Amino acid sequence: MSTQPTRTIQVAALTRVEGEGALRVVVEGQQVTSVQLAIYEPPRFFEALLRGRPLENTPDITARICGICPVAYQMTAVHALEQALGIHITPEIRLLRRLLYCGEWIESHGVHMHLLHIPDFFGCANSIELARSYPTEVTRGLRIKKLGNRLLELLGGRAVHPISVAVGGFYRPPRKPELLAFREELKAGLADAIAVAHWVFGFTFPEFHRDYEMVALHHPDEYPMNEGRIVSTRHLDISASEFPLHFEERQVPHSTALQCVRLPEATEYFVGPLARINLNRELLSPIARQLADEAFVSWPCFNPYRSIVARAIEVVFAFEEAIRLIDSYDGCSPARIDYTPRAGEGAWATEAPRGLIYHRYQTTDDGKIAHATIVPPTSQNQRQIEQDLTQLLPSILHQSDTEVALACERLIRSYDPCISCSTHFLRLEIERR
Amino acid sequence: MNPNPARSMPAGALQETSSGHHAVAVIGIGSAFDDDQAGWLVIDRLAQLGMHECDLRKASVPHDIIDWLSPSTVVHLVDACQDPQPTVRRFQIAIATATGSLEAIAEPQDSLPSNWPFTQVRSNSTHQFSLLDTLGLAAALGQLPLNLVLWTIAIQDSPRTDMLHPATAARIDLCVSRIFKELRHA
Repeated sequence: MSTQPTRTIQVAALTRVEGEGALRVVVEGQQVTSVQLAIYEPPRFFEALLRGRPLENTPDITARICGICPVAYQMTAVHALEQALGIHITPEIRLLRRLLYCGEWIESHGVHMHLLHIPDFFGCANSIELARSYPTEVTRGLRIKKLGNRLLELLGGRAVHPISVAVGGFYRPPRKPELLAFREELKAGLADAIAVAHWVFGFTFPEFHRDYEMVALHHPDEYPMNEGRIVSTRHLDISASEFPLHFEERQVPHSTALQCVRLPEATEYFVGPLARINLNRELLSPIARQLADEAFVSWPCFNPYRSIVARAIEVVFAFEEAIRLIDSYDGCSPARIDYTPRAGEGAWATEAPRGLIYHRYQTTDDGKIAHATIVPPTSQNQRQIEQDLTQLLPSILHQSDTEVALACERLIRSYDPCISCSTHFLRLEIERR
Repeated sequence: MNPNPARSMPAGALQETSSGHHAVAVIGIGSAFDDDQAGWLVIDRLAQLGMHECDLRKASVPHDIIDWLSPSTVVHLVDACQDPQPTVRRFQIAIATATGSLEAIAEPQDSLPSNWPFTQVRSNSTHQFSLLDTLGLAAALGQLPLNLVLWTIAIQDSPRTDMLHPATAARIDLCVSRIFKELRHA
């Protein structure tokens, strides 16, 4: 019988993460015996909601999974469905989709860095506190976010839940003059993004390193967004259609969210911007590539706190890439490839701002969705976050419960989890026995 | 046809007018769906009433408004609200001298319940960056308008996403009437 004291620490709701979740930690003596990331947002049943509906509704329905990264859901859905239907899109449609994704990376990374994550590096409770000390920097961050939104509006019709994305292409492609008129603003945004990157490189990062398996897309010719093979730092190299052979979503009793693990050993893995740069650094655009070399980081980097460095580099990349794509764009005709509904199956993976996202669909011969599987990035990172906390906690248990909770939240925020997306997510409860 | 369609796209910060008067804006926050339309419908109605002296704008999320706020402006915000009482409320938003934090002062006739959750105004917005957070950020950045008024319209659950609840429609009429009277008589 143990005579060690018990200790309970609770964080009722994790803050500055997207969605609602809790963390429960059990400590017996000096040993952490359980770490449970509990997502208590109710399940949203999007996969079941899609069943029986016309396949062309899929991009608009799946976009509602998230207000920050709807494009990730739309892109992954349309590509998977196009595979099922045997549709081959034109290079112009492909270009526009990549440009749309640039808008989402700029907007999502901009929000996460300036409103959710950077306050941690200055001991600020929130972005409002940060803004009192760093008004110029926060205003700059808001400008970046706004440019991301504008790009989304130009291509998608509106910034939140774009409405122009269709299976086969776009309902309305942008006109070249519309994009050219925005080019100078993107150049100003690029300058802002470079300044943000230099600011972030100077932050003080906790020393924390683990032997992660990092997973991301890899494309031979370009930094991955809409397509590529799924690769890892442990030599995984598969097509998206092989995802179920190497990954599996599992239900855990403490969470409404599924947790995705690597097979065969059901191990945790890491997705997101840090994984992307570790696996694709050579493919970054010129300025982003140079910044990666100047970031005081030894690549590959296995410190999750430095994810914000990767995020800052990716914002620079997204601006550079958007400008390049606009320069290359000569209009899009046809804007949408016609198709005949057929029974089929398609699977695809793209890179959402917070990591790899995977969709699989089965269609019926009359153009309905027979089956849908959606694996968002936060489901994939949940198990990894629990493992990280298990390693972190022993080193901070001497601190007060409040301090422990803050340290845990800070680590979790490094992952930019989107709980709403994963509902598949935070309160912290630590029980010390 | 709407003779003066309200702008729903970002259009830069509000400016002082050439006559030197402070620019007045009414900004509806919401969407095109069910009772969340309330803020946008107020803007449409004010446009139909010919309130050309005001800058009428629509915002989808509270975030949208931060670029539009500046210290030289007068801004009326209109937002749908889950209110325990089926009513329209007017709040004067200001920084409390004692605490330095934002406070919302209700009109006396609004008989605000003691437990009325001002902090819940649009706290269910995308990724928890609420209207209160947005106004707090604007205050921290020195962008809080000279005069900031928040109108809240109590909404109800609607059976269809494209339909407005009849009771909410009546409250929108009341809100339009109060804003019109206040601004025209200012």
